[in-house]
Amino acid sequence: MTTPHPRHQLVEAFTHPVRFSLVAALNATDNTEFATLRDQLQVSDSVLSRQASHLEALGIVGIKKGYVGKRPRTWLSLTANGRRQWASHLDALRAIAG
Amino acid sequence: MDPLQDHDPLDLDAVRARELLAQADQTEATARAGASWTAIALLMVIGAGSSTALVGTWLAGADLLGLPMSLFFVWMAIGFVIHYRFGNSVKRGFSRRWLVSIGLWAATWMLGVFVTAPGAIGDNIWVVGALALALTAVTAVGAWREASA
Repeated sequence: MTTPHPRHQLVEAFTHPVRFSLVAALNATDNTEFATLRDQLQVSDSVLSRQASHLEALGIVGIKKGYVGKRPRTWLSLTANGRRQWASHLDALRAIAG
Repeated sequence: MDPLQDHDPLDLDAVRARELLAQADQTEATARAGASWTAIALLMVIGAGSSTALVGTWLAGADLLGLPMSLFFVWMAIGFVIHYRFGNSVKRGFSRRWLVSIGLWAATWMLGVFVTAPGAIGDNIWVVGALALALTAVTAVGAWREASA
């Protein structure tokens, strides 16, 4: 029996370039505020919001809304499942890279 | 598969995989670089404020004890407000490191307050100085660890 090619361990959700960068950035932090992440990734509010919601629906990203004073803030973080999937995705990339 | 894409995104070659790994490393490094700075500043404020307040209260004596302590609490409040208002991101593992740093600082601070009180066992400049240095060390190491994380 042949060993499956590492590309089968890639996580399809991370093949989208914005989602890839979003998860890479969140993996370095416990949580990040929406505007900070938007500026870092250089995307619009709507693009980040759409991709973050997609990852939230998959259980990869957690989204928490709150206030700092009177200003509404949104915080994003990777879930434990998200960190596992990201680690698995990077392992697959390393295996392919050789 | 998206018909607009000319290849399956899951079908990567080694060169593309290396590019993606480099991109992930760079993105993570950028995210880390901008994170936790308010927490680092807060730890330094706590360290500087508490160590000087400990020496200040001992030198000031019972009558003027409120002055250095008040200044310390004002600086603490400023640090917490800035952290609360401008802290947009904290590095991975921050909560655990923060609890260790603040726990060690709180234990050292309590020790300092009780041991150096008038008439207590540590009511002399050497003990006060040593505990002030300990407060400085605990918070400086905590800030360094967070900056290096």
